[in-house]
Amino acid sequence: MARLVANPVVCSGCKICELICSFWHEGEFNPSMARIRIEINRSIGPDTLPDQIDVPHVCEQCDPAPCAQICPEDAIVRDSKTKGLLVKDDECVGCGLCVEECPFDMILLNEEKETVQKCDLCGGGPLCVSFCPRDALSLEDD
Amino acid sequence: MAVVNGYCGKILRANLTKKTTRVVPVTREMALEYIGGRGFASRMMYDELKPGADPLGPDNNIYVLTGPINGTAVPFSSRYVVATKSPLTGTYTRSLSGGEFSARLKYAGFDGIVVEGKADKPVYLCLENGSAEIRDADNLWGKTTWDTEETLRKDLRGSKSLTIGPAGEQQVLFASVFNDWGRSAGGGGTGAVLGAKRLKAIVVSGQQGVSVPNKETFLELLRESYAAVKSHPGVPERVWKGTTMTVETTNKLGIIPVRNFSGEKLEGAENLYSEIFREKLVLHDESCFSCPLPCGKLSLVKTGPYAGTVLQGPQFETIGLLGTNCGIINIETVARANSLCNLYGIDTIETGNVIGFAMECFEKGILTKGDTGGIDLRFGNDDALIEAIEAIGQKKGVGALLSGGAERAAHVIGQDSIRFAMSTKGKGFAAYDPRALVGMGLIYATAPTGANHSTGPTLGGEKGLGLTTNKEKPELVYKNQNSYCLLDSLVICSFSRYGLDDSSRLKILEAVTGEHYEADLITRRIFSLERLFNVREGFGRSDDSLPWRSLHEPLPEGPSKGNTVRLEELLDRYYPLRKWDRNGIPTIACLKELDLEDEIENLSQMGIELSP
Repeated sequence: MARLVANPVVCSGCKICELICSFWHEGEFNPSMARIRIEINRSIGPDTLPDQIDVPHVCEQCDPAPCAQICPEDAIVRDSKTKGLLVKDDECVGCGLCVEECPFDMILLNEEKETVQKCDLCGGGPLCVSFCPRDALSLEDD
Repeated sequence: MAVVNGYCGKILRANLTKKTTRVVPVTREMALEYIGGRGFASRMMYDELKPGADPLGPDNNIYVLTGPINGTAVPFSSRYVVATKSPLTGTYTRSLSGGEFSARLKYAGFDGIVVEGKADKPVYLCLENGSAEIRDADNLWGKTTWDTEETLRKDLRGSKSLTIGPAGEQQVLFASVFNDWGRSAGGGGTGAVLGAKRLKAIVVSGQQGVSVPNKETFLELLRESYAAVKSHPGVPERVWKGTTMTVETTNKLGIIPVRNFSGEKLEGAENLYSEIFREKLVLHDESCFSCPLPCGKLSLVKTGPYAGTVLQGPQFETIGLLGTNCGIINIETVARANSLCNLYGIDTIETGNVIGFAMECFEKGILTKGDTGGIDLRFGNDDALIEAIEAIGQKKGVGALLSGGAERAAHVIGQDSIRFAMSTKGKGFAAYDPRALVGMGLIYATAPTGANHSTGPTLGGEKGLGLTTNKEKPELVYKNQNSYCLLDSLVICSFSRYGLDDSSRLKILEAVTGEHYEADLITRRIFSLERLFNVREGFGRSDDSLPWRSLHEPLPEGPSKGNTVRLEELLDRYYPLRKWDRNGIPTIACLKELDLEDEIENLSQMGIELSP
């Protein structure tokens, strides 16, 4: 199974991954549409650990996958090439059950298109990985 | 859809006296003739602010502006501009900050915000997805910048805010605006203008994207740009040390100010170098939005009296002014001082500059404990530095005397203290002694903002030319100032020099907008228009000056020992490069070349004579 792995100690919170993700998938720079999410916590204290400051959240491409299991249309399937989970746009009806079910809050509902969006590993060469200036993201096959 | 791609096409105008907001379009002419950010500010301020307007009165406006590239993944595109008529100098001023606010303003649907008038009680402005509202800020008034930001973040999830602290409310003349946990548009007293308007904060939120004309070619351009940054040899050191790498460089060259720009050597200054800063304070490298070079350092004081202090920094200028300039060699004290400045909402440069001045007055017996409210304001006294900042932040006791900067304080104190009030047009010097870096002296003298280093820093260029020679310095200053007009108008960080140059920046601008820009002409137009704003306010050559110490007191030691700044010679050679006359006023030929012909008429109606 291939998935994105993030290193929160190295991440410096630039959000270039969010920008490039939305640009690649939606054709515009718009972090609210990104399928990767960086959480920034600068209100730190003496007990804050280095991995709690800039925290990347990525799709875990779970196996078994709660999103695929709950989908009433069987619209979320494992891609044979990337081994990631893909949304079949023509079968998804945008009911949003998977959005609720995802334990990592990594699926977005696109109300306009009546579909959901999630990380598709860019078809095998994720742009967030290649653009990350800190090498805080990698694609791992385990 | 905006008339030019990259722009939202909309500027929000809020009038706090009338309690109204309205949206005005960004015209194609404005976009192509002034780009954005600082360029827009120069045009709007000249057109909108009546000469002689009180900077702290209802007739002054605050301009918060982005440019066409902000909100995209262009590297280093995190910045925005705050511009206004400065209460510190009476001139045009512009200051920039990074973080995430700039992009979020675009995603809220606006290229910029203009705030007019004056509220009768505390308010904040909220912009969300193309609409705007003036809201009550009674519950925020009195809060620190940090608490204000945290409160607003909880009130409106996903929002970003620009705030002022208690010092802005009290109209300390070098109060700043803050965003993103300690990023600041620091110089010129922008925060005091917000405070005078009773505007506590501006909150932005939204989900509107920024697109470009050609996805494929733009992606390729981004790949090239990021590769250029990644392969730049200077990046690793810059990431590791942040801006603090300049502490060591400038200390060795005798440039960093020591004890109010005395030019002396400071025993123990090495304790402020990057290695110690990293070891004692740094917890995490942090980036601004869309920036591949995390020069920001999230710091925590771990031990000693200031343990638990959290801040972004301290950065080079802050270490130079609150550290060496006050004779302080403890990085944890500087961190605490910096944090306090951030919380109260004051500029660390101006604060360190004026406290250094007050310390010299105290050591000379010009100020006594009676004047300072008992503060033992000697150089190198860590406690005194902290107490003085508290006093300024609250504008109480000696803080009230110092709350207008060194030059104003010197006019009150008298006794020739003006000779060592280290400022131009009332704006305090940054962390470069111009006697040891003479081009910076010309920057201080001719910057439209008063002595602001960030209008065209010269250290890199002057190392090549020789630090104390006047040779080629006017040309360097002219070139840097023009280049910074481009940076400040896109709006992009000056650290984009790690991989980009003006030609690649222009290529990016044209790829985002799909338009051709006459960059050389535009940057010179912006700089001369800013000059006209100041000319109209009565500023001229005699104000393009440096304090007595810089001109007449030879450096006592260091590599540039014996030097003073020969400023008049620099000005004589600089003005002609700009096509300004020998009094520093743009000529008719200059204004015609820059398509500023309407201004010729405007100035002559005001009785200002222009040379041909």
